[in-house]
Amino acid sequence: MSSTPDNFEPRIVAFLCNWCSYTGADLAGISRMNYPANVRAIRLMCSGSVKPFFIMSALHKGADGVLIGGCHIGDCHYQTGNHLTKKRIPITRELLGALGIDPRRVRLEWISAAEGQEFAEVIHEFVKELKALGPNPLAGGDHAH
Amino acid sequence: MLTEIRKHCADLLTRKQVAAVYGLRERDGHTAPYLFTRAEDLDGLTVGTKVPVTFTLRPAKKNIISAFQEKCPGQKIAVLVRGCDERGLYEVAKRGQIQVADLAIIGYACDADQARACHCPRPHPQNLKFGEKVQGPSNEAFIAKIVNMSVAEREAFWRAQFSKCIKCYGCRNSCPVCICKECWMENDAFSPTGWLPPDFPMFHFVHFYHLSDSCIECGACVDACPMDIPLNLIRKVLSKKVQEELFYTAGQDPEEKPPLASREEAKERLEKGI
Ligand code: SF4
Ligand code: SF4
Ligand code: FES
Repeated sequence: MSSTPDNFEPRIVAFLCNWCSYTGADLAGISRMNYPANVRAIRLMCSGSVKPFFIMSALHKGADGVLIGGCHIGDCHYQTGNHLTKKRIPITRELLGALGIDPRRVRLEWISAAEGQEFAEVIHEFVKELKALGPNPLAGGDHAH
Repeated sequence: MLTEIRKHCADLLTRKQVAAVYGLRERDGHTAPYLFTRAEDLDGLTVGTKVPVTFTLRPAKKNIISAFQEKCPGQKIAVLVRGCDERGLYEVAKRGQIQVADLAIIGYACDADQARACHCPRPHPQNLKFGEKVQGPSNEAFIAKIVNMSVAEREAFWRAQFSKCIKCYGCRNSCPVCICKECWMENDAFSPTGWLPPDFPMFHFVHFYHLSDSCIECGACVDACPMDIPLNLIRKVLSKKVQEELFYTAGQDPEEKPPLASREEAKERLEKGI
């Protein structure tokens, strides 16, 4: 986007499940892997606890991107929690798109506890993509909080 | 068609095959859902208006059928339905609100003009007894208006539309399948009391998302909206996505589970090829 300032650093809210993705992110940290510091991680018990309303709320409150991280299909510690996630996210993205909010701001990734490297790569890619998209036009909302 | 329907319902009542007939009654120029228990009242029975029979009663979040079934369990009632009414019954049945087995569903078809006025893709029930099936208008043509816009154009379009919203909750209250007792549209963290118009697009996001796998495309929300916000544009985009992504169409089969709320058959749906 032409109006994007060169120093724009996107803010990413990452909803990560306790058992896989949060541990994966932690591994990336303790292994001193290099990834951009744009992520605010929120730990939940399961990706299935991420209500689409939370995603909308994060975007509304100023996140430029929202990452949802869960265990790979078959590995969810609550058996089918991530199956719910897998069904919800495409519908959520479709709704965002129909409302005029770029669905590329919402990303779903399966990241296991061993995939610190993958986590770092996802963040690299996402930051790059969000820089190209520019700041989230919803940021801050219409009313002061 | 109306004469035949009245006669059929009168027969059911006088032969005591059903305890009541649930349909629409016109009285003093007003049409409203009514539970007919006496055959002589049936000359007030009407069909073909836009009033849905399965609307939800607030604040109890029940409908007349569920209230009846709670008071008189096991008693059979006949229900007169159009396509949308029947789909609405099936959706509330899936969520444990009513017992379809205790209903005698009597369906009638809407004509082409009505189908057009409601943008209804399926203007006939599965239990069709009266009238001829007609083809509904195409959803594709209807949603082309927003599908063909860029993301930024859509944002501008909806900002303008939702800035008219007076938060009357008409869209929610008129919806036959909207049954949660605690509603996220009333949640202050999303859309604080007293803020008008509500912040784009929080309030409406909740309405759209939460009904995405249960919306039966009856159009009641659009009819109820005093500000003429074309809510059905998004409703139909979502219904299409739910069909493509989750192989699911709301209101078809009361035995099916709503995909976005069910864990049970998540696996089977995934195995179908997602
Ligand atoms: S069209 Fe509107 S009122 Fe009818 S089921 Fe869908 S959301 Fe509810
Ligand atoms: S019916 Fe229309 S004006 Fe009323 S709350 Fe819904 S969208 Fe807003
Ligand atoms: S526990 Fe990780 S997705 Fe459910």
